[in-house]
Amino acid sequence: MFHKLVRLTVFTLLLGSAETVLAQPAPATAPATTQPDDAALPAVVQQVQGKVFYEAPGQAGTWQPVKVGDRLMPGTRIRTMFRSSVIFTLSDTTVVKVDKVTVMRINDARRTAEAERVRIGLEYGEVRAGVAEREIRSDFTIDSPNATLARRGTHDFGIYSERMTRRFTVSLAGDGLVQALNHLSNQYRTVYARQQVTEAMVRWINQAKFDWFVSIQPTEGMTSLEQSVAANQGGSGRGVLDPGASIQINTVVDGNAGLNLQTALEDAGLPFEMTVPGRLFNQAGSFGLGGATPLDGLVKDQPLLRGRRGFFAPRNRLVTRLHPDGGARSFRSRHIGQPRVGLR
Amino acid sequence: MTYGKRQIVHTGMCLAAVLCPFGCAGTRTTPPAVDYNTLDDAAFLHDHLVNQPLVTVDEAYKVALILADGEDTTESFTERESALDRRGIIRPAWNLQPDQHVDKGTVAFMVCRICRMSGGINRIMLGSWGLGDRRYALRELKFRRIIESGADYTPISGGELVGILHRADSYMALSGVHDAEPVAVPDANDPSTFKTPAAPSQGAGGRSSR
Repeated sequence: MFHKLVRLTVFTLLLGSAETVLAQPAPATAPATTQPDDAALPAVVQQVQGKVFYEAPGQAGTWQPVKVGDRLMPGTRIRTMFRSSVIFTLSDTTVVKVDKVTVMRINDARRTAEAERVRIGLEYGEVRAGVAEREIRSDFTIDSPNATLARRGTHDFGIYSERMTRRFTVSLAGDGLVQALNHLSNQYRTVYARQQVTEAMVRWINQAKFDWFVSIQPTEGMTSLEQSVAANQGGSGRGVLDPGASIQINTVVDGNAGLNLQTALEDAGLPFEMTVPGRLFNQAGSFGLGGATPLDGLVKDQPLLRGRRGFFAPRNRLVTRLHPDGGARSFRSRHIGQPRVGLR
Repeated sequence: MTYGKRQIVHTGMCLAAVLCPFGCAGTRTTPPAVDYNTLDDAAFLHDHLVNQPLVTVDEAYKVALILADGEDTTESFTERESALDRRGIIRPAWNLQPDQHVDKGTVAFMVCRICRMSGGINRIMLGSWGLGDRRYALRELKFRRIIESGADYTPISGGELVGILHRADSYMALSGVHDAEPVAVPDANDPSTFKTPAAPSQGAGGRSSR
């Protein structure tokens, strides 16, 4: 303890002498090497493409074109047009790209003794950023009317926000994780690498096999599996699972689709198991549609697939709605003892 | 009311809906506080259009030209309509009025033309000559995730329109439309600009602005 105190004292004395030396008039050719605490960090423009304008703080309504080398202070608003973007850096740890058709504001950019604090306000459009933590911790947040992106030790993340529609996308392409806050629902969602979250606030795993868009179509043209998937997330077919969670959904698939789903789950490495819960399902149900439902043509020995770790989030529409025509379904069949397997 | 009368009324209503030139779109009754024709492109897009609860046809035409060319050099609705018509981005048969609220189908059609999307079989066979042109264009943009949802006859807000154009611009950058040669528009006053169309190539999926 005593040795540590001695070392600290010596270090402090050395630091004090260094400050004294630096306080003396420096030669004309020597650049400044220190930066005082709580100093505002200017955003230095590195690259400009197309038409990009900035509004300096205190000069509302006066927009000037952005040029490479410009130093934009906190409080500056930036807006871009079509086919335009701008990249600027904040100190040597943070890179921000303002994409096309975007309006954003540098709310705060300063360095304190503990951290480098950056606050970006995104009115609408898309902003991507990368942060490399060095000796000083980085506190980086992008705030928009629809959502807030808070960074937790990562780089190469982005947020897209749309005005009036409440749509947004928070994505992470690099390592680490970010946290997205949906202002409408006050939900938090952690976004991991190579994932993104939208206003639906569900994550969807990065698996190309399940990444397809199922548009609203007449049920006559869709298999039962497609209808069940389309019931999820407003017709997009996307579903996500919290890592480590085990959820259950019940759906009806015909034989071939069931085999395809089983193969897909096996290829994805998701553990699942075939079970026969022994519940009953309604073979004759048409739910008032006069046919063209996933249950039409259902024979008593058609199996369903059940996975221990499926790929649908709890409380999603696939669980509660089960079919594009909506409403919860409970099945009872006149044929006692028919097997039914649900996705678990 | 007998069955015959009911049938006549229903048929009349259907015919009126088909023959009505203005469809279901409303019109803007209150003019904006600032005349957007006096604004530059950036101010029009970021200060005016994005704040509009419903976009008019004239505003949509103006922003379509900005998306297509990077700037709008026209000064009136007539000039914009003429410029877009020459390039096949709109159809005069729609008979749209400048203060009329633009619908998603019209916006989708313009975006598809500007982005040079050929579309599927239905759009090529039917939409190319007018039958369901806007509806198929909307379905094409939904498939490409440029438009999220909505029917072709619904009006559109400024914020949503800007979002659609944002994704359309991204598509144009990825597909190389930005770097493609501009479509040669024949000039009625210069016969030399009229070129004999070449024979269609045999390659599959050829891209064309028409």
